[in-house]
Amino acid sequence: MSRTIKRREFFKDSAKIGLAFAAGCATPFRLAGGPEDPAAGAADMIAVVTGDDFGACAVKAVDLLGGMKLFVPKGSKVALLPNVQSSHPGTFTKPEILRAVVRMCKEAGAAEVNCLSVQPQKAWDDTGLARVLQEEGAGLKLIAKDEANFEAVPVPGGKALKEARILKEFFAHDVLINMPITKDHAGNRFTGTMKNLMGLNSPVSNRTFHRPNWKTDPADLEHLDQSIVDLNTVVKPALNIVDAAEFIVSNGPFGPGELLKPRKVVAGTDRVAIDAYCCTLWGLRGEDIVMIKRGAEQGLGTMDLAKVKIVEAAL
Amino acid sequence: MRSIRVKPGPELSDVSPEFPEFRGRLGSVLLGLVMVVCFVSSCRTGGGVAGLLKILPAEGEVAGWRMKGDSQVFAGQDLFTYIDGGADIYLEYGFRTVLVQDYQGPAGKTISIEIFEMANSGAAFGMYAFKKGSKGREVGGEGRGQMGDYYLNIWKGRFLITLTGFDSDSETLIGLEALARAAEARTGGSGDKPRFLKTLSAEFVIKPSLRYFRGPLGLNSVLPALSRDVPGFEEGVAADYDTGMSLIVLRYPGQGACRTAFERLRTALSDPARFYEFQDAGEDMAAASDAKGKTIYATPRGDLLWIVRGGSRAAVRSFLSTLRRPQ
Repeated sequence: MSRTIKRREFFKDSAKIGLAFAAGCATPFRLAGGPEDPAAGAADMIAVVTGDDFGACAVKAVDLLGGMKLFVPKGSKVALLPNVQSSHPGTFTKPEILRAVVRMCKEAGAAEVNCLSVQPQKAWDDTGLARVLQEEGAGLKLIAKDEANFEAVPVPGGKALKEARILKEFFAHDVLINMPITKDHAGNRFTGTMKNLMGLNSPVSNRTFHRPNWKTDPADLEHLDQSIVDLNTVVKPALNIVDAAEFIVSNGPFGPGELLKPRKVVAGTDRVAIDAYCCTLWGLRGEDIVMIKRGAEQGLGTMDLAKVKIVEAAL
Repeated sequence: MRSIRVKPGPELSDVSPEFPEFRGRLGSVLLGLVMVVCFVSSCRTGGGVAGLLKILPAEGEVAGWRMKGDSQVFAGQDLFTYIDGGADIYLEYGFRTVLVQDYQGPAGKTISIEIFEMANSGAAFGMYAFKKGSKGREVGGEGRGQMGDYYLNIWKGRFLITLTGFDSDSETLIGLEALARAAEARTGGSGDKPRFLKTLSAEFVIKPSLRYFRGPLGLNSVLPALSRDVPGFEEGVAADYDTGMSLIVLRYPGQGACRTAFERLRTALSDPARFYEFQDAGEDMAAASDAKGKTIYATPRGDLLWIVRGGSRAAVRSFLSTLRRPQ
């Protein structure tokens, strides 16, 4: 446990974070990649499970990666980041997937499991996610959008984003599990693991992702993609579990839009590989999505799916 | 008694994050101004919050459906509070205000109504065409409404009305149509489609694919491979034709801007990392094949940039000769 406390203290000192990443230090949110990393074996692999019971699909996907204990140390505080952007069908992470993940975390020995959000209670109620958390004994930390609730985090090497502003509450946790729903997005064409992390960043900072001349200057438009990639260099989830069961492929991210129902849950640690895989579910290619391409170029993960071990199962 | 919540908007904190006290007062003042402007505007034009409220079907107007909870109103940049991450496309077209109200119906079904007041009827039509998608059943007349699997969009005047059910059960679908009819009847005016649509040859257009856009996000939905290579246009239109070709026409502020965009597009098409089999026909036309094997042709005509996807060069030239500039 002393190791965990050190990590928290380390993270509270935001000025050191950039140095830590530059030096390649392991952090609680960067479980993949290090030689001592227990989840390193899952680093080049994504699990894809198809079925009608989406909760069971999530459990199977994590099992294929080696089980939740690989990602959630006993006694740890786990932060979950599902998408609650809208209550329209196919726009938010399904409650049954959230329920399965909360249970897996608890079975792995998590001391506490919380969802972190700046979205209003109504969004959590309307999507049915609040009820799941209540029934499963997990917490819902709704944080006001006041800038005082966010902490400055330098982004070393950030090409567009020099400083992120991350929820302070995030640093009180040991493990982050990123739980987006993959779907269409009018700005990026696609949203998945990388874009979902904007949910941890302050709305004021997120607004800087959009530059004033984006309508006329392609560089300003790509500033959004680049900012998302930069943000992802300093916030690294231990695990990503993606709802690709039923999602909108038009009029995203808010909907309503045309629904596609691949009935899949996708899990893994490589955000670029997961996003590159998910966008193929509706005919896109990773290299066509600027955010994915830049993520690969900056070493966040592998865009070439031929180099990724994709383990599939059906229930 | 139903109440309305007007969201104060995060943009207030954006503009002066270092002055929280001032921000609070500024928020109150600006919110008050927004309300006054909305009220005055509504008295004059039938828009604003009061105008939007008039469009909402009243209690008991549609049998079996009652209002559930408060109405919510979001104006201008405050749309980001409601559609976090998805407001840009509305703002690109020209967004003013949205009113949101849930209704509770038979068997516990819920339908959400969003009434968007856009800058003008062209903006409302553009957003409608963007949202309705290419699949669905037409409802109402004159191509003003379309029903999807669980949602329905209507365009009338400068208003776009989106009704969303949360399943495809019969009670929901019946409720969607009934509430849509009630809201449409309460919406004044009709509004014209943008004149620029006349650029298209209507007899060949596959109607559900028609799009009208005013910026790169709208274009992104029809030509993602090149949407960032043709900046600076003022409006555009796109449609699929029964010849198998898709046409996109972009209008620039002038001939020079159009020529600049064409040169930029030609450079993009000649990039072997992105396209294949580049063909350069000088100032007249450039062409290349995309990743899906379809040929993209581009040619400037005055302030218009014409882009055709699919078909042979001869077929494209013949096709383009049938099109005209809107008068």
